[in-house]
Amino acid sequence: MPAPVPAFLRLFLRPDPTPLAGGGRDLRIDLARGLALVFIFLNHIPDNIASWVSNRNWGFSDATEIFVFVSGYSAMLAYGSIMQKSGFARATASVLRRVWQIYLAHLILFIFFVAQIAYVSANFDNPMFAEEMNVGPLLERPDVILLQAVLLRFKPVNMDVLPLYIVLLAAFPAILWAMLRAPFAALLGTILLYVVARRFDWNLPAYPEGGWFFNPFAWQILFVLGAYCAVTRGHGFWRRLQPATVGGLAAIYLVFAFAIVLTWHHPPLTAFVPAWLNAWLYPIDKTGLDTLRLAHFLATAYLTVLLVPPGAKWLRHRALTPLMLCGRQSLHVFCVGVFLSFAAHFVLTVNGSTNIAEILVSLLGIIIMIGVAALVDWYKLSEKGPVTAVAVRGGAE
Amino acid sequence: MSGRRLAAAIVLATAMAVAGPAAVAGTCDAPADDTFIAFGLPRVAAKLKAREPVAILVLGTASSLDYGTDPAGRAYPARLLTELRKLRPVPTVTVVNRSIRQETAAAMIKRFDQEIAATRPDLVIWQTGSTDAVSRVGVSEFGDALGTGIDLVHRRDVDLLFVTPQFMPQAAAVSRFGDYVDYMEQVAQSRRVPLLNRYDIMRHWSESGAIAMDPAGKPEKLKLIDTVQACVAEQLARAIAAAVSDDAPEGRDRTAAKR
Repeated sequence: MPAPVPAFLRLFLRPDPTPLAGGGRDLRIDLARGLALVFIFLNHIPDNIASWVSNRNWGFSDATEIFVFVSGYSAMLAYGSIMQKSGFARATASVLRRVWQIYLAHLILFIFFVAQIAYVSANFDNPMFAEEMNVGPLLERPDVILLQAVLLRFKPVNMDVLPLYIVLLAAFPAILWAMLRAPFAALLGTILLYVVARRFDWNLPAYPEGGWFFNPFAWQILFVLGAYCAVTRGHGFWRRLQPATVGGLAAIYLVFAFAIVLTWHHPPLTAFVPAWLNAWLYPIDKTGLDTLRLAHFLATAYLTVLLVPPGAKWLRHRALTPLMLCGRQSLHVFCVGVFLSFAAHFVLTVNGSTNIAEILVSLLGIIIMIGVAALVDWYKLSEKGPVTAVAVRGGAE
Repeated sequence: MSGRRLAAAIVLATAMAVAGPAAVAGTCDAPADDTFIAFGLPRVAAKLKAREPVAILVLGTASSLDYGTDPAGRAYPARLLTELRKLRPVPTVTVVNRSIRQETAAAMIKRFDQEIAATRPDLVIWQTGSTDAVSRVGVSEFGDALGTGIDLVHRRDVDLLFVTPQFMPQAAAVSRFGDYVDYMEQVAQSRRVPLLNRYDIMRHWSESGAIAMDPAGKPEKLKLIDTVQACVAEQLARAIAAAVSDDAPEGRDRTAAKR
């Protein structure tokens, strides 16, 4: 009989080699990602009244955190099961194919962006806004801008999430390898990288200056955390936390964050916030995934897992089907969402942006996103044929 | 925040949400949420109380500079005194405008010492953020420059007031102005600097239909500059009046001065 492994060391090992595939889809993941996609679309239409429903108005974190975490989670399920079945090389090949697809999608969106900018700059020139509408460097030097765009150094407004996803996924084979051997060590590694990158301002370079809007060295923590949660399903270390205590603390933090966010929308309320708290809170850094944002996401996620069991009946309610569908076909829906937010902003600025118009355009966009999700779902099912379509995939999207 | 304060905050917020934005009368008006001034200007307030002359230095970029020689193209600094006089009796006020086109916050703060020494202001109005957003300076680097700028001004016991970028519906397709405005608000909140949120105010004018931001003809464009700059001057005058009133919360960050 082998000697028992000490409890501390056991943390570092994968406790049991449960296959990652199978067990059915976790509908909570589909729902979370569907919601995140809708919120990202709404938030990407500048100054959109409809983005009030999105979670960025409830606290410090927003839909990007959900999207990155859930992407890490489902990448682990999808590519982890390929690695267990067919080996590391095969899994890496699948990951890289996906990276290439996302890269192409990003470049196509870039072309739409340039078309929009060219139109806007030709049609709305006013000396008063010469500085704000200074797109000269963009349109006058296509040689520079195109090169910087294909290198992912130049990223148009609201096109920062896909490049982040591309580099995180490109690094995923290494994460996968470590996660299947020593998940806890991988978790410590990701935390260390997050802390060190924030401390020493590590970031990938951007054009014309500065670093990436979403610093991959900081934001990776959510992606790897998602992968960790997928690999330790059911026996992650947080299962040993006291739900009443930790859940209570998480709830208090969410209420606190909500109260602070209220003061952003109604500045006179800042009178209630003491000076020391202001000095401590601000500024809240999105680029480096501020600890306040990370904590807010973790608190939200912890309470969600606590309150919504995987088999919750309401998850199967018909009303949620469209969101689930979006969550399952997330790459297509994400790209269509970015395109639609360009289009929506365009329509709104040409026709005048009223609150009613913003809501209508937002609703129309969501309907199109759902339609695209349904179409892609149908394509995939019909191409796979009836036999394989029954087998439940881990969610490679 | 104590439980009672929190409860009060939520009740107040709900009440405000139900009541909706305050009734607006003139073209230049905007809801109270957009025009709220959170902190005072202690030095200007003291000077006004003592009936001593007040010197104002404006450091900004293109939107703070006159357009051409037509009086209709004058920017808000040249109109500020008139607007201020409409609101309250003021002694001698001089406004010196040292704005330069397309300067980032980091480039501007290099001039701060020299400009302050040359003009000896009681108040620096710092309009910034547009160039940083357009040239894609990192948001946190922009924030660092703001912090250094605050230190440079407050160290000389001079008051400071922020002015955020202009709003134009189409410009949001080119640069993420909103993120820079949010960051300016957060830095202002943390360091107790009063802030005129020109971005939110102009957005209100645009979305409420009070001012159309994209007229076609050349005379209409000049008319737009006239309207917007006059309204910004009026809002800036109101902001200064609010910041020198007796009930304005203490401005400046006393702890940082000691750091």
